[in-house]
Amino acid sequence: MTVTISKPAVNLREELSALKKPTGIKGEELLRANTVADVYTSLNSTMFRNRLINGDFRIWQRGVTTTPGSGFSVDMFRCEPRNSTTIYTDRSTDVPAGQGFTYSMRTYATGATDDGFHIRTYVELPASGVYGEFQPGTQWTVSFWMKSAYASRTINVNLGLSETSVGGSHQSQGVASMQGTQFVTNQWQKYVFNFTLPSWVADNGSLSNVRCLYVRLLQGSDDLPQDTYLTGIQLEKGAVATPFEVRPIGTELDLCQRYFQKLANQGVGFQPEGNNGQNGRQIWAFPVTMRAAPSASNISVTYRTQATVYTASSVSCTTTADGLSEFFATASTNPGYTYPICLLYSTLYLSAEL
Amino acid sequence: MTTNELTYKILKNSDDVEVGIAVSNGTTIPLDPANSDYQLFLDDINEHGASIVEDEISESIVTAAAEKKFAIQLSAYQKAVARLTQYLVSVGRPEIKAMVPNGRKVLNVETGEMQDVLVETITQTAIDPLPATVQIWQGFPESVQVTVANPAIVLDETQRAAAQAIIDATPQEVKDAA
Repeated sequence: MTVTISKPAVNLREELSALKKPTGIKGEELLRANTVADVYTSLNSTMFRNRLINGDFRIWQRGVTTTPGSGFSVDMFRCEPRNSTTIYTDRSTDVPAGQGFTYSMRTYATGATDDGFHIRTYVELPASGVYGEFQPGTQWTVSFWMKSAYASRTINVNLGLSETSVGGSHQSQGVASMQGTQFVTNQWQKYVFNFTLPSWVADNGSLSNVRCLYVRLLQGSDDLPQDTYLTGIQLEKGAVATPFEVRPIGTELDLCQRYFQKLANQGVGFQPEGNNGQNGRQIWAFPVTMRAAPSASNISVTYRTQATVYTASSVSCTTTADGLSEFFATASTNPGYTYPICLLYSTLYLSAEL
Repeated sequence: MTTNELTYKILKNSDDVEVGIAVSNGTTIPLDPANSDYQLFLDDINEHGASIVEDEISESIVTAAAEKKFAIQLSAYQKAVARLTQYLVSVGRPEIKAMVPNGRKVLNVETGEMQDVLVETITQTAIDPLPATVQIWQGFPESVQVTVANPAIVLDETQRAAAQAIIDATPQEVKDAA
């Protein structure tokens, strides 16, 4: 008996063409993965690869107007004045074209005798004295967009471990970039600096007390006015600067609030106890648990019972990393213990910055 | 927060427990060693003394400030000692040779045991002393050549003097812990 088997026709040209699908670099990497672990490694390298927070300057909890001084202005970034230079920081909409950024940080000190400034940000270590992924021998890349209103200005970056983002009693020696100093032009330009971390050596104090890796943008020089714009700053593992990682703004705000929160228009009530009713325990959980118990400042509060509004000449409130705990005031008159106290905070700054 | 001329007041709750520090600039600092302002508070005590705090400071705060001061002094002392162990650039250093195992072992027929093969190796290279003086050009627009002390030797001596000053000022208990 004869059996006839028919098979569908195969177009060899189409089959071969399908083998040449444009998978791209990441697709090729995934196709080459031999194990599940390889696949996860490949995918994870795209998520949260930027170790810096607020690198595109979308979060300005302290306000977007000029803020002289050496403290933080935009979230997670602070200026380091040289000598007695007064620095101003503004949110700017001047950004590099076609890169998807909305804001940049403009930092300036334009007096002829100003000595300029450096800019600092930081990455929290897992614990005091624990380097985490910043191990000796690992490669890291810092990239950002920058331009200068003045000609012939320069930029360099160095990294180091420290107790706080600026100063502190415990610091490692700084790590210089491989590229060294580069000129900053008056046009937006992307700068890349590579690092191989050395064996950490204490410069001051003890390495067992360092708590962050600082990123220091070195710019200042004697008697040189400065006016620079910065955005899209990224610190990532490896020797390659990848495109800036944009995270959801809610995520970015949460990340910032681990270190600083500006709370406004919040109320809390408590039963007075101590100091003729001027003190009490207030239980109020923060929206985001902070790095450590924060310092409380810029406290503006209305202080009242059901019958009377008091003027508080001084207010202190103690904290934990999770929330407010106790309240101390000096009121215009003693409220006593009869009525519960209602506190309405119009502003309250909480800082657990490094 | 700057620590210039700040004064502090310890906050106690109705149970007489210390719960924070009120600063004269309106900030409240928690008693949390991880808080950066608390560390500045300890620095302020170490620099200006306990008089910057209105009330008597508790033993725990005194201890925290003392431990921080001790750690800083110990680190500075170790760094200064390490600086002084470096050779004097005005003197240089000699070459030192020693017999060092080269990684091979041979059988010692007398003892019947394997033993290292030793070879003479330079363990410290020689460095010549720098000249005590160098000649430089001074003056403008009329320049003249003058002889001055070698700047590298001056820098070395300055740094060594600074290191020695740190060592001299370090309390004995810190030196003992090094």
